Amino acid sequence: MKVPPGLVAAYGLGLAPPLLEALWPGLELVRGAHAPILWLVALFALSFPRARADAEPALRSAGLALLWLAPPLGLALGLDLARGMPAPRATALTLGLGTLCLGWSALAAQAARAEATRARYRDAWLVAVPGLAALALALVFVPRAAGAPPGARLFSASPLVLAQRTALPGGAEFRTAFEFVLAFLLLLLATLFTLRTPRGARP
Amino acid sequence: MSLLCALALLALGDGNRLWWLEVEARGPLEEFTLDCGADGTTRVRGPFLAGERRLSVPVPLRVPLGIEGLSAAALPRAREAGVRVLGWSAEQPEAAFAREARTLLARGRPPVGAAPARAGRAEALLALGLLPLLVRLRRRAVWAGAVALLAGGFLLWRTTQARPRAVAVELLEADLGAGRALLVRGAYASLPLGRTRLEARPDGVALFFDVPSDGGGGRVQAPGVELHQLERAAPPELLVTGASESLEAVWVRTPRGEWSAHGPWRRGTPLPPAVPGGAAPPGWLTGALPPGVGILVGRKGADGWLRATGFELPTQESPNGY
Repeated sequence: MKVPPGLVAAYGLGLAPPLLEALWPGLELVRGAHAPILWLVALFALSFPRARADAEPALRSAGLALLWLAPPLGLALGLDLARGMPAPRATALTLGLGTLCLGWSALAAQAARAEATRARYRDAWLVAVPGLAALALALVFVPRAAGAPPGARLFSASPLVLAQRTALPGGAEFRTAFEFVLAFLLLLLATLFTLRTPRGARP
Repeated sequence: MSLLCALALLALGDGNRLWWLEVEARGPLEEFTLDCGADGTTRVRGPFLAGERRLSVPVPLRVPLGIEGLSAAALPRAREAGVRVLGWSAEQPEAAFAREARTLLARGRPPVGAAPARAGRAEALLALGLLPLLVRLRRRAVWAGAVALLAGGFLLWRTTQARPRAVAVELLEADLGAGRALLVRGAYASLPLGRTRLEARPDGVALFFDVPSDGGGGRVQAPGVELHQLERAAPPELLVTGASESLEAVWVRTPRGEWSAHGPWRRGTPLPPAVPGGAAPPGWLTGALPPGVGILVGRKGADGWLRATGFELPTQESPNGY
């Protein structure tokens, strides 16, 4: 198995906040939850459009990549539990964000197998993952009346925004079921768009 | 009426959780424990050699009526057969302290908190060290997955044991007019044990004392509890013309209730002039203070504070202030 550079980046960057906090006792980087930060980095790095396809089946290579993240995830999840996050919520977030990560990662691996799907995935990924997150970020920073922009929850369809929102302090009160449904719907749309059979190729 | 007052006192409680007890230990003994029931325990570490030894030991008993009710309070029980509880010590530092420093004791205590739990260095470095190992194992995907899963499970278990880190705070409470001061040390869950007065929040929780047999270097442990240790201290010299110690930031309240920020005040130098629009002092230092007197509040370090009543800014009658 070839180690994707994105996996090493996700491992290192996801581990960075708890590692730096452990090495410098005065440093407090995370006020909210640690595990969603790891998922945020992993979602971006593992869903990144790939130039070459893996030899292994897409779902298997995505699953193995997630297994690799078990050490930093264990550390981050343990910290969240030690800081008082209820275990059922921590489990639900891990399952939800982990499944999203698995889905996007498998789609990226599958799309890399052909030139046409690779191009379509690149477009879908650009809009759905960093594009939507960048738009949400821009709207937050545009000077406007206090409070979130109208329809702010819709931006949670981007897995990056969803992970960021679940990492916020007080996330225990945050109802995420609707946001998760949106995020999975967007993943489904991206899958249909990427893997659809082009008209000219139909028998 | 007196019954109502007694009931009110019982409900409020005196607050001190540090009383001294005379015990006789018959060695050889490694250590012994004094049991105060729901109020906690005192573990006295020896070793105690063969023979009898009398010693004064602090216990965390809750005595709602304070020193007046101590003689009526049930004596703690020794768990070991070789230890005999003789009675309350004749000298209870709390008694004179409560009498002398009544007004200072009535002031609010500094809030203490806890820094959130963080991963241990060893665990974080283990997670980092696993990355090159996993890269080396890349050709054996099943092995790499198994190692990662095992390590992840171990790190999850280890990190859930992490506890909030205690943040200690120190406040010197002074009454410059009366020439009295007391030092309040606050911490979360654990604190070095003093001699005079100990308070715990919430009230009525169990405290655990751990003291060596020579009486010094003891500690109080109480998970999830705010602890405040109070001791006598020398009042600071705070003249407008020069302070006996440096303060990183100073705020002054006039008897009319107007606050002003004065910035840092170096030792031996005059009080700096008021800084217009300076930051306000922390709310917990300025609440419930006596009206009509001058007050100085200062920061001594990251977690050290000073609050002195009776500090006066210079007037025509008293050009040096206090």
